[in-house]
Amino acid sequence: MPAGKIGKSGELLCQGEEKSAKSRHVQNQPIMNETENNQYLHLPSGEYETKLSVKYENKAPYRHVSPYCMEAFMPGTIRQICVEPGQRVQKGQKVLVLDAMKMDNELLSPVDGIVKSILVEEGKSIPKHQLLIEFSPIG
Amino acid sequence: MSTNQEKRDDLQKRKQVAMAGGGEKAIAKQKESGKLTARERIDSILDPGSFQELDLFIQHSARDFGMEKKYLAGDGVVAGTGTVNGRPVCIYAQDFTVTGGSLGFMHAMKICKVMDHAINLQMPLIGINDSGGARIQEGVRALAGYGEIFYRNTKASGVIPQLSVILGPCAGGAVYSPALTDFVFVVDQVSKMFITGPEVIKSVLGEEISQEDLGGARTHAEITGNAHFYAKTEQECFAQIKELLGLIPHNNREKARAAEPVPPQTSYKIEDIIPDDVRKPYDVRHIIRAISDNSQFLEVQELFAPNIVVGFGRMNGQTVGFVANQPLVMAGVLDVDSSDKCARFIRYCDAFNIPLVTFVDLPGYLPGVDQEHAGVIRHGAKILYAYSEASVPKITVILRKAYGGGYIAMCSKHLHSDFVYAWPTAEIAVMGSAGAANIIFRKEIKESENPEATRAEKVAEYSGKFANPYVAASYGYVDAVIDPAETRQAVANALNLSLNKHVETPCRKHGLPPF
Repeated sequence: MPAGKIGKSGELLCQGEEKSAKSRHVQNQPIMNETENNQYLHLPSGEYETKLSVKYENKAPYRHVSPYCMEAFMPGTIRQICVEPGQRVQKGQKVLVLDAMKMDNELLSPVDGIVKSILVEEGKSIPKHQLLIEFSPIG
Repeated sequence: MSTNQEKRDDLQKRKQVAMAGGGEKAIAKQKESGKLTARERIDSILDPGSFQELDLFIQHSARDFGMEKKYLAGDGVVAGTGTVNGRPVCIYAQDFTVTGGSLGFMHAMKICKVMDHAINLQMPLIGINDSGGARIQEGVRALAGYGEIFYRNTKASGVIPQLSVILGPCAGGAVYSPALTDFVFVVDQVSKMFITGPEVIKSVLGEEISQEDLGGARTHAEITGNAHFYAKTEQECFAQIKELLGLIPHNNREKARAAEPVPPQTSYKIEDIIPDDVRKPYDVRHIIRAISDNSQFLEVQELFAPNIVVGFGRMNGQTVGFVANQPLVMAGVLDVDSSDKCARFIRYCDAFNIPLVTFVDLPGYLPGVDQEHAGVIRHGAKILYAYSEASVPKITVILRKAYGGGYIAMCSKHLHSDFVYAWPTAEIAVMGSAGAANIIFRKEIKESENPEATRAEKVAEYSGKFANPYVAASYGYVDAVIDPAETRQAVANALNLSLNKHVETPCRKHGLPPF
């Protein structure tokens, strides 16, 4: 194989050859009346000019939640707070009761730790993903 | 004692009463909300004069809450048989003018009767949904009615085509019937489908959303994938139904009705469609239309997962199912939604003896935490399962990129595609040149005096050697490398050869596709 290099549009150029980097045209007219694609999708195999789908453009970026932060899985009302700041808790210990979906949901501590702060009050309505309790590791 | 003539006159009177549905006021209200009546819809879909009504005089069997005093014409649904394009079908249309089309037990039994006819007499079932849901006064009997319908939807699945047309509300448990059918048709501003409606969602979760945004036609056509055909008007929807029924077989024992072969009608040439630059997109539907009879292509789920294209066309007069990666959107990657869409369509074609023609140009699967956490592994596996399982003729044309797992999944030789063709622009490789060179020549690049130049050189080296169809062809994974201009001929020949394809399947109740 003769040595080659990559041309401006990614095509292989053999020694001594030159190729036009424009897309194929017939009689200088574009073949297809595609509406302008000026978005790019970056993939392991390269960057591609393409349209992005509605779902892809609207997707929420991944948000890492520390296991020491306990969030509400659903909106609801805080029925009962079972721990105090500074209290040591075991993983699986009941820490809070959330009234949601017509049930009293017992929320259990996700970690062995110490209650660092409680961000809600009994009787208050809270939305989904509300940070309820923060823990800190033992020691 | 009344005369025969009086009895005949009496029949006509009873028919008139029953056919008046919910009465003039209710019909006017239906029209005001931009909807046709049940009878108008049936007459629009069926061939003129072909409708034979069944169970016009059925009466509800409710006894509580004063129901025994109420007369509900046809118990809120119009049902019977007729023809579409001259071929028999079973059809029912819920009548919203009669207590909001609510479903009672007898209403459900009437629907079950036409469903039983469709199964036993081997013809398509068209169900027009327009109903407020279960008739609360009938309690668990209404649920029993739904259950009987769902069971029959399942019994009929893969035996006869089942079309659901959502021309009004379809909420709560009722949505499961369309979900069990083959094709769901929705109309903008008319269709509403959801399990829990906006009011309940607001009171339980505090989330506010309109009916249209939650479960309107566009939402299901574009986001949820619950709908397969989207129309702006009811008339457009009926035209889609007729076009679909003209292409698919009317039961799983016959092949689709053949038409006169007509050459494609495109003004452009198929060899001019793909750009020279491999990173630039094109609309793969141009390629499909460049080879299908009369350039006809009835796309299914056009707005959902647009990075893959599926739909029906004809080649040499025979109905064919086309599957194609779409570089125009998301570079044609495979992801959760496109895997579902593709696998479902493949299995539809397999169930109804429709050959599959697959066009391949994809860079692989879409990376991302959202994809991985959404289960792209088990969803992606559906395509592998569906293609491997399919015993209909399978023809593959590799147009451009075919990397890694995507190459395998898109009806490769290894999944027993009957004929695999590749264009000279095909790049069949374990991955794209850039990625591959970075891995294989990592040491040389790192230790080089000019890493970028070395990288470029190695990418070119890899590309020259592997980004083509010839390595795969050398192993027999590609049957023939063809010029684009020969594609229609090659595919048509392959289809003709495959008319009598027969494949033995192992003895088992059924396999376990990754649900």
